[in-house]
Amino acid sequence: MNRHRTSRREFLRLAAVGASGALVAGRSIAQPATGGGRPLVVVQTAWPQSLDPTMDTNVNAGNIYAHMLESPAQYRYDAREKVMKLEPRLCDKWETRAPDRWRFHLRPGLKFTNGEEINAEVARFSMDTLKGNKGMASSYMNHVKEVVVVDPLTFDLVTDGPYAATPASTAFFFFFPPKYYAESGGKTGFGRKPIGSGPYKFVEWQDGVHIKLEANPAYWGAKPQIQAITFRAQPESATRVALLDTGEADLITALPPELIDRAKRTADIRTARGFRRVFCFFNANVAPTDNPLVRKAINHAVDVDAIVKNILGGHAYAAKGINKPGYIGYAPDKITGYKYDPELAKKLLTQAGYPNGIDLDYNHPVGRWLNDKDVAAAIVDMAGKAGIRFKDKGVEFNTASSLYSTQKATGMNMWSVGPLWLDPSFEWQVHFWSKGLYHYTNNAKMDELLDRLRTEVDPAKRIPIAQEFEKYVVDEYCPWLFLYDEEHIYGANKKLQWTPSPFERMDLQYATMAG
Amino acid sequence: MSAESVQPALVRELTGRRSSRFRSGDFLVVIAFLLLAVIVLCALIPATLAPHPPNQQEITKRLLPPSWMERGNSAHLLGTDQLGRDLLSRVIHGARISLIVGFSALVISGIIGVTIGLLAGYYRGWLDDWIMRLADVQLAIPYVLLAIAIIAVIGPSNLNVVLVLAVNGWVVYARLARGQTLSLREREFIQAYRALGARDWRIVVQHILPNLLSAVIVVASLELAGIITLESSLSFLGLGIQPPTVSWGYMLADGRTYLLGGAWWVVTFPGLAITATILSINVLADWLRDVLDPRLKI
Amino acid sequence: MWRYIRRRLLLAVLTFWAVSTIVWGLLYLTGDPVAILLAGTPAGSTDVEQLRHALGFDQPLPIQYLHFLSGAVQGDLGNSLRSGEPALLLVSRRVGFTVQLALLAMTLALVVAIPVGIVSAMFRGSLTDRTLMLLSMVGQSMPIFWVGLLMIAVFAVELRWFPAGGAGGIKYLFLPAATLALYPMARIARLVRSSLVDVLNQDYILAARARGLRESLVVGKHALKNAALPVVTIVALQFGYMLGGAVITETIFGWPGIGLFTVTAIHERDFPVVQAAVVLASGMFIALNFLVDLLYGWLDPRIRFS
Repeated sequence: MNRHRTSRREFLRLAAVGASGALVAGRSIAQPATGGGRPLVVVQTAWPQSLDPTMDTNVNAGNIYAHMLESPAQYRYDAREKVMKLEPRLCDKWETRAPDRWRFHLRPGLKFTNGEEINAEVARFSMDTLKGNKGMASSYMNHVKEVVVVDPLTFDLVTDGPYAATPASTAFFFFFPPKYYAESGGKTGFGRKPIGSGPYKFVEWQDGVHIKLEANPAYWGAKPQIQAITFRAQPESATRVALLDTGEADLITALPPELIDRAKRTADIRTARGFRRVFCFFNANVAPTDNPLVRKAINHAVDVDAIVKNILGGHAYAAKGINKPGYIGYAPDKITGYKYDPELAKKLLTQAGYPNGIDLDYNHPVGRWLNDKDVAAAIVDMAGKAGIRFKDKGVEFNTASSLYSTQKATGMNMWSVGPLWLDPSFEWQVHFWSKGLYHYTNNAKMDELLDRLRTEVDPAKRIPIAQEFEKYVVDEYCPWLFLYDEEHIYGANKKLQWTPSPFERMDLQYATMAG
Repeated sequence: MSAESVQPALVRELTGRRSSRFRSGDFLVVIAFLLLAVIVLCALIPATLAPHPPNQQEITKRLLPPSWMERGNSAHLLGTDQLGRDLLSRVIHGARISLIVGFSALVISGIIGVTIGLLAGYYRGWLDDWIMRLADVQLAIPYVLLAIAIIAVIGPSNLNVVLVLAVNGWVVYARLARGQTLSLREREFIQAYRALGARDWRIVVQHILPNLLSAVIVVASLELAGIITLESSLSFLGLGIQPPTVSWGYMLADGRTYLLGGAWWVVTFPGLAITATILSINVLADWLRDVLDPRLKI
Repeated sequence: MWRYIRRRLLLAVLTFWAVSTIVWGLLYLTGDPVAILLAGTPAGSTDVEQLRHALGFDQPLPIQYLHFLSGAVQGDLGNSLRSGEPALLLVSRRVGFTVQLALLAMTLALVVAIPVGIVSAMFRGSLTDRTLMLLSMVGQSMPIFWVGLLMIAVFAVELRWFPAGGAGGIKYLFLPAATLALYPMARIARLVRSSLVDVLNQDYILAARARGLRESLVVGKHALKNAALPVVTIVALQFGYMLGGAVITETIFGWPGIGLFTVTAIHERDFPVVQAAVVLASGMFIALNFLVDLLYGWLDPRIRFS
């Protein structure tokens, strides 16, 4: 009996020692970030589903595979001129051979990190893979009918009718090593262990723990200064900021404005005006929103500047039109837009036949964009003062997405449109084209202008078309409640020299770590 | 010393130091009662008590701290939230929905669960098996999926939240009632009644149910904490009480980033409200259970 | 005995089937997975229809169901709509994390709650008892994301004892486990106390005391075993919930368990993955129940023999 009790006590003592030992070991986790040697730790909001660009198009995946995979051309942010430029990447030049045929010239001597050559056959293979995988990106290259191999370093993209944005669209046309792609097991194998030709190469992916990349010593372009990057994910924004605070993270994404002051205590804030535009679309086929006066009234009833200033802390850019800075034909001075004027709103409603105001559903996803709940609440409040009584229907993002794609959503619907290639035709065709997924308008003039914009290849001729389209859509037809562009807010280690790109590509190969 | 007077002292001694509880414990019960009365009052006449309408936004006056701090405003005793809405008014209005939703879910799940558990425990056999399998099946389904599915079909509404919460909670009562019934059923006095030919439902209602009651009340008071917190969790996931209805859970989930820095009052006061409500309910439930203790009736 | 086990096995299989079918049905109620997959892309309605056909979602529901069932029986629960990988494989990568978290959290909870409950019950009415129970009540009324964020603020940011979030070693496990353990700890402590108090008032305890048995023996041998019944119920339920995935804890700490994984899959309407996750979770749960039923039998022999 005695012996039994003693050994139990001894065991407990050992356990206590062991536990405190674990605590002590835990003390030394957060080493301060130094340069070179220690990997750069980037913490995003979620894990990628796959590192295969044909399967996962989410920014959390793109930020990782864009460091390893390359495409004929790629966007790069020129911080000095403050503009996005489409730069040659794998292809050093391209030209039009016919309205529906673009010729691309590959740089000679490029190889993937496993030694496979990059040639025109690879281009064809990659296009077939993109279309054949039936993933999220399967419709990205819908405008390309086929890839024609001209010679080992030249290929043609033949489009289905003229498509002006073809070179821009190649920013999403990533090249895969054909032999390796097949050997690794196709999209599922490649998606866990990609091989590319970019400035970084894949090291390992420990599920739920980290994804590690290291610099590619054989890279054909400028070698990156940062030798190793570790990607992690943290869904809760407060925790992401805590990670930045303790030094466990060097760069975090999606920093909410209310935590900016907190983050500034130990780190830097880096921002970029994004291309993601938040707006609300109306169903122009159903009363009362089938009357343009009603739609205009709603625009006059909401003070977008106040929302941007107070609810988003100034971290957004009021956008009165449908074109974006850096896109072809961007000319905000040529459109009038809608000023905040609740009295005018009431007048327009009376003119439209609703002297007592109107009742509308307001569908909006919750938790998708920065402070979207609060923005929606503010909109409801402001509009209410002008006689527009919204029924606030906040839903989960995909419930909204599902509803919108039926083209039967009524009332006012909050949505956003983000860029693929930086050409207005892509975003406009989603909403205003009769074959678009969220087609809620009904206007022959818009269809006609859009068709011309898509097919006119000469940039000089496209500009007036784009401007005419925007003027008509915004000032006359008014299918949306125009809101704002999001700002991307990152938290960064003070020693990290890096500017964020509006295009939401991290491009850490251009970053350096001081000290 | 007569036998009668010795008896209570002996009983007290043998059943442990129980009597002391009533004297000092009474104080806590009184406080709990008063607190709950205030909360119920808030739930009944929020418009009279609250200084401002709970959804009135003034986005130029956002994130004002409580009035006793610098930058505070005496018009807003507990400060304002990120849309300039008065916090005190929102906390007062939140009482109604939190109590209604909490109690409705509790009562519904309690009644369903106890009934099912009684049936399962008393009749045993295939009925018991099927019922317990139903419980297993339901528990295996993630409540988030259930919530999303319900909302996708019926549309977002506060009723759905009650439904989800109720459906989530009945199993505890069923398991408990079943377990207790299984034990009690085999007791001699129940066997005796059955042998005497007493009808089943009488046995259940008159003899098994009262024995269950105090356990059920304790579990129920424990569950209420869980239900109110679960409502908050649903709000965290965007599936809870929808605006413009004000709920504490929503306020808590919405303002949680402020916990780490900045406008701490946005989360603290609704949090305190939740804690106070749950604490007082639990204290009162404990007291009620002592009152109902069959031991005292002997 | 074998008949009993065989029957239990059959019931388990039936439960599996019921769960899979119900979840399958619920998923279809939640929206169009194909449109959601292609949201925000240049896809038009024709593209959506083409993909729908390629993935088999345009077939009549009963056919889709049979297809699903026949695959499930062979262990193939389909491939993720997002990554193309087998759904079961994806889920199995995360299960280990969930089990680790649940085990540590439940251990922490029990190690604290049982002694606290016993002490409270034995000294009921005293200041110790009332303080402990008050603390338990407070612990139970704090929403879990509050607790989690406070833990991060204090133990990770201020004291730097633990990492603020993520995974990759045992040091990442402590804060999430402590957060997850708080509610069950408080609940079990209260339940142990009240259950024990109930039992201690029973006749046979009175009799044991009258026989002159030492108090610790009275409590330890007679009372505890019988008080255990309702406690076991709740412990099993809590553990089952933890195995199903503690979504909020995982979200706050970024702990890669199946809870957050399942919720994300539900949000993205990745049907095969949701099904796989639910099947796995329900499998563990059913196994747990089986053990609990056996435990009931041991604790209360009267149940065993009826």
